[in-house]
Amino acid sequence: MNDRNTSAPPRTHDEWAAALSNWFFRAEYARSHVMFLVDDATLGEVFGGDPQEARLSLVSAIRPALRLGTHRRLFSDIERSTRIWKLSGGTGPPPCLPLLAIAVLAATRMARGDDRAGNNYYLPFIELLDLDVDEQDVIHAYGESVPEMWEMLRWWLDHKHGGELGLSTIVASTHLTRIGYADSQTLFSSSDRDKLTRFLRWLGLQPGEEIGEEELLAYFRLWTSGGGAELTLGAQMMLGEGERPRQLIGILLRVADGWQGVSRDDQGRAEAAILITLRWGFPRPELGLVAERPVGFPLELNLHHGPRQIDLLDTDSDSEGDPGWYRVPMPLSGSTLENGIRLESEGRVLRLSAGQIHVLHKRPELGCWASVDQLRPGEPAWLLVRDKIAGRVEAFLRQNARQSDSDAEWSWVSREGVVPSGWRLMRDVVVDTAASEPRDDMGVLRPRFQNRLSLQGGLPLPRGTSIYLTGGEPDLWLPEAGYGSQLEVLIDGDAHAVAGPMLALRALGLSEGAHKVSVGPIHGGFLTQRTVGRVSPVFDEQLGHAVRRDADGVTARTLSTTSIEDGGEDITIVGARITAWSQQTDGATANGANGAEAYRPIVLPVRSQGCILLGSAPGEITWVPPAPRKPTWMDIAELDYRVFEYTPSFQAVWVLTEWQIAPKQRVRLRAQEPPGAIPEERTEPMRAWAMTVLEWHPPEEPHANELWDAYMGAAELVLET
Amino acid sequence: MNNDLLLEWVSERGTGSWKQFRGAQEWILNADHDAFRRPSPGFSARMLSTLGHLEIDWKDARWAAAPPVLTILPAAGAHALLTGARTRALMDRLSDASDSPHLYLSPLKQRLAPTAMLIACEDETDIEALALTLSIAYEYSVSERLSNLLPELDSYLALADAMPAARGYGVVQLDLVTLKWVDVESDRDPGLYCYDAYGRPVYRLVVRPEEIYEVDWAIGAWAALSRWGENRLDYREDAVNGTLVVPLGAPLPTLHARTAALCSGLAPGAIEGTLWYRNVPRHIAERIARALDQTLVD
Repeated sequence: MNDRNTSAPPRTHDEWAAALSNWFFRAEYARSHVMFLVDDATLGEVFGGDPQEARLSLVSAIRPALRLGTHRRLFSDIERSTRIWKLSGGTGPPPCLPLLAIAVLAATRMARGDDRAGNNYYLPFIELLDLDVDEQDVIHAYGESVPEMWEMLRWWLDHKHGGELGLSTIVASTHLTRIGYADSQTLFSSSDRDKLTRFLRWLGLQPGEEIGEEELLAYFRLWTSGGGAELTLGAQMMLGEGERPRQLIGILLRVADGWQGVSRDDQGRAEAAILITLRWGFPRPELGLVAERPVGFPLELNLHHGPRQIDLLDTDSDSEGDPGWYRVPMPLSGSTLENGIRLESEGRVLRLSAGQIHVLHKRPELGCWASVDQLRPGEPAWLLVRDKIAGRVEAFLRQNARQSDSDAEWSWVSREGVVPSGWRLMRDVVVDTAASEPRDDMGVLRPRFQNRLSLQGGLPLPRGTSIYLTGGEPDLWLPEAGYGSQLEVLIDGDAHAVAGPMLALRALGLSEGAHKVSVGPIHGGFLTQRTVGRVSPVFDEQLGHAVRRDADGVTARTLSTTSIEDGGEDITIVGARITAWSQQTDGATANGANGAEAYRPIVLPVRSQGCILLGSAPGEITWVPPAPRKPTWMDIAELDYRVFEYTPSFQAVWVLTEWQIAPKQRVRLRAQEPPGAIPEERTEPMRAWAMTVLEWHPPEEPHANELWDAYMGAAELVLET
Repeated sequence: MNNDLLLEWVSERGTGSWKQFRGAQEWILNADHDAFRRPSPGFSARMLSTLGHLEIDWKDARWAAAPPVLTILPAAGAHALLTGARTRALMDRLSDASDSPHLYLSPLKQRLAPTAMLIACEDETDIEALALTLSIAYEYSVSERLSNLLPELDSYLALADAMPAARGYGVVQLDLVTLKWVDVESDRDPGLYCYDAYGRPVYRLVVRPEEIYEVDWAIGAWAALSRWGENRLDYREDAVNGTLVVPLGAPLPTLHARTAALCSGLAPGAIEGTLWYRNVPRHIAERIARALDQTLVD
């Protein structure tokens, strides 16, 4: 803690209540979680002097408020005055704060270890208050009054002030019903509390997002097992067996409930990240620095970088109420990339992580490439790499990065003057999963979506957030590499071995329906559906092309595919559907080509001995040439070549084919058209038409046979002289 | 890559964002453990669009499946093609209906596109009847009709006035000789530029510094070739119809590509830096070339 006590040391009960309140509960902690952790050192700081002197002063202030004549009601007067204070609106500091400070101080003196129980607590409590009272009477008096005081303090912080002086972390204990309140304030030091914000950031918890108790605890264990948390011994003890984890869950839930998305450093200062940017420019890309501006950070911020003052400015935002970005006017040297930067001010710190590799992904809100904590699977990245590990990075990418026909493959940027000396820039890196785990200094290259259990990918249907097409089941990403080996992975109750960070659920051949996923105490689920049941998709909005056709030609009405309305344009094209919406264009599109293909092709068998087509008018006859050679592309496509097409110059009514095997003559009706009028003058084609009708065997189908009779009648008339 | 699964998803889902399409395409690629020869999401989307399965709005980064249609292919041995959306419900019905003695289902697996669902028939009326049974549309010879409706290049550009693009992520220019993208040190010279962006690239055709058009890759490439390049469309005659050969670096615009592809119903084959569209009648190839200010090279 910083030295905040500039006034005279507190002496009276009221002065101590005010001093403690001012120290622990302040506007700068608004919406953050606060601990009433009173240990000797802190008490000395609140007092502004020697810790022992401070303790004696505090006890001297409390003792006149004790009912020393009624041992079993020792604390009733303090409880009563606090109750009156609450009923009258809770103005000013809670009168019980000095006694609660002693209660917490006693908890800090309990024997450390698993045996944190009442018999370890009351002795230091009695000694601190310098009481000459039977322990059982103290225990009775404590139980009668002190828990109620903690509840009133919680009310004051969370309801009276709505968290504006900090949110309470006071947690009741089902096991330690009396001393559990005080105990809960001691296990988590203020630095532990601040680290919880880092945990929530690591977890990727969004402000306002709800998360289950057991799940939160499981992730907390995972986070602490990584070794980076560096919690106090007390906080680590809370991860043990028995009642402690329940208390921890309570604290975690409270902190998660008030999470605003801003992490804090060990000194309680709000943290924000400095990012490396790569912006394309001419004649070359430029590296630079920007810093996050979380909600509540001023638009102008003065910080220190060692002895230097750095002024940051957010020129794009209008108010502090929305997050934004500061430009960081500092050169980007090789040393900065390797060692990171720390810009500090009262209550705030901005930090660029040190590293041998910096991963840059596209950052749409910045409109350029910007550094991230971890490489994301399947997303293009650029890498800033120290020269000395460039070879190892190459080796890792050769084994794990995508190689593509159409995407650019990773390569070093050779242009000079882009990166600082001793560093290299690599472009177009995409890694989906890593078959080999990169070593520590290359850990940022291990592709991860997030540190939580998650379902990624798959083929989601639009019917909800977790419904997928069967065969398109998502991938299950475990919370952390190696975590799956510690916790059992169950899919619909069946255990599955997971070698890497991800389990491809598609490979399990799951049936249609609901599926449950469990990884230890963390649960999830999803649904699969074979089909939404429609023959054709249903749209709210149709995408397509619109064109206009007139005497001058065809013009585009839309630049590319876009929303189109039925009837809104002359002609619309959606996939293979072509719709003419006006009379003028209808004729042009009905048969496709200005009437050039007036008659559609007739499908004829390739293996027939010959084909004759007859129209309705006497004289409309054509002998179809032999089928063309099988087109090469049909050979390539391995398609059968059984029929071919022929387009006559008239509408064919009859298709006559000759075969080697019986029936050798086959007649097929193609259009229900009666024979036409017979002209006065007879021509050779007319005679051929008539002779053919009379020489061929009639068709077998009754309806065709009837029409054939009519054609035979017409043919006889043609041949009459 | 399992393009059939991608098409099934597109069809069942109906519409979506470009981000969703990209996510699905990349997930299928990874699920297939196809680390090599990966088509990009843009390539897969263009392929589905070319074959009439979906429409994609690059500007607003969204897509929609196209309605299913049965169409007869021109001079293709009386083969019909099922194009557009292919929901599992539709495919169930098709499987039931294909018991007819007059219809022969000829599914053709393809490497870079969904299986081509070709149906051989003895008479086109069988295909019309099948469309009726399936409750989907029947369009006679779509490619023939589309070839009459290909807009002139300049009519696209008339709609495409634009400002210079943001270049924060990177910019390259199309070399009109090699038809490859190359790094540049300025984007003011005449040419087609591709700007890397979040989600998908954007393109600008720069005629003069004060005359800039927002285009897609294909329109931009052919407009650039029309102004500063050469004839790059080849046509190779076959026994029936022929093959239209298009450089990979200058893909055909959506409608032009669809016109060519729906002549065979097959994905254009990628051969040595070119795309081969099969079974394209010469008059259709000529219409495509004319619409792109090109003359066919035989």
